[in-house]
Amino acid sequence: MPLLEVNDLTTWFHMRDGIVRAVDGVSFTLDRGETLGIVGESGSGKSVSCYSLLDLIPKPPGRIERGTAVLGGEVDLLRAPREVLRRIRGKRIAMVFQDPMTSLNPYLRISTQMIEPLLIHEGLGNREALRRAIESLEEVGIHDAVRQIDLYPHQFSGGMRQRVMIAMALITHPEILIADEPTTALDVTVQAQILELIKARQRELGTAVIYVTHDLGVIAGVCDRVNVMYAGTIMESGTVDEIFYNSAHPYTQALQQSIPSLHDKGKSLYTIPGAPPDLTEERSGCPFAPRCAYEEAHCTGPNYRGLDAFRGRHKTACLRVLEGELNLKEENR
Amino acid sequence: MIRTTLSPSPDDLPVPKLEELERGSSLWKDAWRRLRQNRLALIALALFTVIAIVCVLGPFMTPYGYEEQRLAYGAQGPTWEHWMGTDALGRDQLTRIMHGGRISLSVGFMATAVSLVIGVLYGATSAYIGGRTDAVMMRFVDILYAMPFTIFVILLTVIFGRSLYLIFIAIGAVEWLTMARIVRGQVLTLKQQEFIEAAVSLGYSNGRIILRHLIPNVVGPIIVYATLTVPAVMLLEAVLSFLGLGVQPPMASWGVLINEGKDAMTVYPWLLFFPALFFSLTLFSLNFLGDGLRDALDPKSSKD
Amino acid sequence: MFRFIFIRFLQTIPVLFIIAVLTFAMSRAAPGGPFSQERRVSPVIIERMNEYYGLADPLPVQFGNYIKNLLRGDLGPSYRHEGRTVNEIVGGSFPVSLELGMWSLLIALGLGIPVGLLAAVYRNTLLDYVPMSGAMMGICLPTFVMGPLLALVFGLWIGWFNVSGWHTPADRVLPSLTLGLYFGAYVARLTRGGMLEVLSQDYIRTARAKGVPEFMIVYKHALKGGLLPVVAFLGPALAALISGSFVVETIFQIPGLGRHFVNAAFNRDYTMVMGTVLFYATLLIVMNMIVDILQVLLNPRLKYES
Ligand SMILES: Nc1ncnc2c1ncn2[C@@H]1O[C@H](COP(=O)(O)OP(=O)(O)OP(=O)(O)O)[C@@H](O)[C@H]1O
Ligand SMILES: [Mg+2]
Repeated sequence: MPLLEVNDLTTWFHMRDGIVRAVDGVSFTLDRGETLGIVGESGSGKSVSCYSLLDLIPKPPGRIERGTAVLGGEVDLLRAPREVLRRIRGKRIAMVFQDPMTSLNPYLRISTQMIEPLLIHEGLGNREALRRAIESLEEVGIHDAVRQIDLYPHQFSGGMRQRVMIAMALITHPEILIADEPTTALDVTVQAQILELIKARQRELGTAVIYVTHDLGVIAGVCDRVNVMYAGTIMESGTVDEIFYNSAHPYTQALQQSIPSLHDKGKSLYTIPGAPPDLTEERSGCPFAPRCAYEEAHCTGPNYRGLDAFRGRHKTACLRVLEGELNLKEENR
Repeated sequence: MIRTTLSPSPDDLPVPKLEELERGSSLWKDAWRRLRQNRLALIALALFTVIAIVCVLGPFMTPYGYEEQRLAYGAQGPTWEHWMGTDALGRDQLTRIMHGGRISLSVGFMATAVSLVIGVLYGATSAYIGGRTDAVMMRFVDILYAMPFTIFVILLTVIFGRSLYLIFIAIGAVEWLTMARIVRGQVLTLKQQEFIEAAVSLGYSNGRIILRHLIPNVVGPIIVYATLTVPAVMLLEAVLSFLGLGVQPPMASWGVLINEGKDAMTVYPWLLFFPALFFSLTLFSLNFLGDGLRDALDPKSSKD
Repeated sequence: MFRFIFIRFLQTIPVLFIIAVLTFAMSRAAPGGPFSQERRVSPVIIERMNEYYGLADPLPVQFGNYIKNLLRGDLGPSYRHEGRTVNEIVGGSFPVSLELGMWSLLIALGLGIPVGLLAAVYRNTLLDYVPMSGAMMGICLPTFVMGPLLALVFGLWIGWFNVSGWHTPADRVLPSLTLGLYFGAYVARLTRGGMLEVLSQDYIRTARAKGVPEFMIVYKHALKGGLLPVVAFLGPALAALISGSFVVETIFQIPGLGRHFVNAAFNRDYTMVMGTVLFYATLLIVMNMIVDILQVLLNPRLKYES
């Protein structure tokens, strides 16, 4: 049984100028201890799908329209009473956010913020909680934590703050850590350190990690399986090897081609033609079709069935691949 | 009196983003559409229009003059001849309110115009020159913010007398600070926007850039703020008049009428009630209109 | 921190000086001169004026004397009240205004903050709409409308309070309400705005993700930041309270400094007006300084930077 099973998650924002279909029927599973990557261009709904799981989207204008997200086979996160969900947040599922500069409360000391999960979820006293907080700060590589912990966030650098965020998220030994682009706001050397840190802590604690990023390189380095998102839906889902060497969706391919590092030197950089999708428009069929090199009429027709099994757990949403009309490997030869 | 210092902060006002800027004048169509959807703002607009029309045109239609006394008639409650009653001198209250409205509204608009001119010139100059001059000019504004302006206006009227024009200028002269800050902020953001450079490099003429991009984007926040300045100024004038330091008899602004009404309220409560009603409704409509305009010009707000 | 306070203190000096120069310049620029014989003024006073201001001296000397007197805290004789100095009048009436201001501020904050908090937390519900419409109405009912209305209803019709005077504790109620409700409306709107702003911040989402209960999010994580606009408002609010006191003291005939100032302005008692302006200006500048320091204290980032 998977640790987390998400089915048909759909989150829309009801704006004055129309409905933004930020997440539209997302389904995936997460096993104990594994690392699941979520990639996609900016605005593809990666963050919103993660926040929806813990009911962290701003409401209004956001609304979770339908779907289930069952944790450990027992609770549906999307329907759990507030109090139940609150006890899961920070205890069984913890989060690290994209921007460490704004994610810590500037008015409270690091210590106050660090010990909060322990006070709330484990009923520890202040002294014991503080001891644990110092310990976990040291575990994420903050030296002299005894002294540092009484500072305010603005006295820390971005990388240090992200370490604090990670220590704070892992302090209760959660079953799932959702890391929403934890390194995007940091410079390259710090990025690598933070990635290492998450991996190391994951090994020690057996935490399952959902790793959101738009950086395929990062995915290749840390993930077991990957979901590729586009326009609020999953386009392809599989192991890192399947996604990178055996991709079954034209969008995944286009995404890979647009990464400079995986690219032959000398060739000019590839960019996906066309504009990113307008999420306020209602659509039928494949959302990538207008920009796809292999698009045919039936891609947007009634036969389009969304994400479906391709080979075992390797899934794709490309109708032509599923129907066997298109073999991307051959095409690229 | 209050708004001198309690003016909406520049941060409240919409700052156009790049992509919105590029849309230029279509911003206005969007804004107008959004304003039309805002029922409260529309009601405010309608209410204000009615009040303004009544005050401007009303005096031509009433059979009474605002100074016309009929001592024998005395103070009477609302009747068919005098819809809002008469005062102790037998003057028609509605006529006096309409004339008072003319004065109050013209103070509101004239003083706002004065503050607009000073604020726009000062703010635009400061931002345009930039650098140290900008810093010094803005520091000066900061210093002025700390000054007790109502008191200064009173001091001015004590020394230079209490003419209507002096009141325009005195109020306008103290109300320009926030406007200057807003204009400066706008010009600064625009100066850095790439779309201006883009438009230049695309070979658009200066006239076209100014007309289609600069004006629509700077004017929005100014209109919003000016709309909110009018009631603030009217309030300040009313306080002065209420204290007997503003418009002098036989002229009467709404502040004067409310003051007279207060003195007579034990016996003739309608003399307080009607001018107070007109005044409050005007403030109410202008404030809501300003809020509505601000929302309409701020494209990122959602439906709720 | 002490450095900051010291610098902030030094900055007030030029401002005060500018105000002193302005008042001096204005009084000398007045048509006909400030002490011309436009009205019947007793010769005794004229004599004292000349003696005090040395009106026969050249302007720079006059200005020097004026500043010297100010530095000693001497605001000079009253132009209208024979035998009384401005200092005496201010000293006698300011405590009354101060008491009125304190009560009003208490009402404004005690009412405005909780209402604004509730409206922000229960945003877009009746608990938001009803009190906030009330606040908007409060702002459109300025003190000089609200005051007479309260006096009419609670003083004359229901008869709970006196319509004027400042003798019994009950006499404090209507004036303080008139002034307090008006500012309470502002405070409520500012609190709501500040709280909404803070509640939409990333760090509030972090707190939610940690499983912090909702009431703790409001009190522990959001309140401090959310109240900053209210603290920032206190500076301008004090200025506005002063001008509000002119109106309220006139309506309810309270023997405070505001009423004296208005009377002096009405009677063109130059020395009294100038002295009071300087007094108010000093008061405001000191208050603004305190508010600035308070803001810094509340904000750890600013605190450490300075
Ligand atoms: N609070 C909100 N109000 C309205 N629309 C929103 C809100 N949050 C997200 N959206 C919309 O939802 C869509 C998906 O956003 P999301 O933040 O999930 O993208 P993302 O994949 O995480 O992108 P990025 O890589 O930039 O973080 C976007 O089109 C965005 O405009
Ligand atoms: Mg994101």
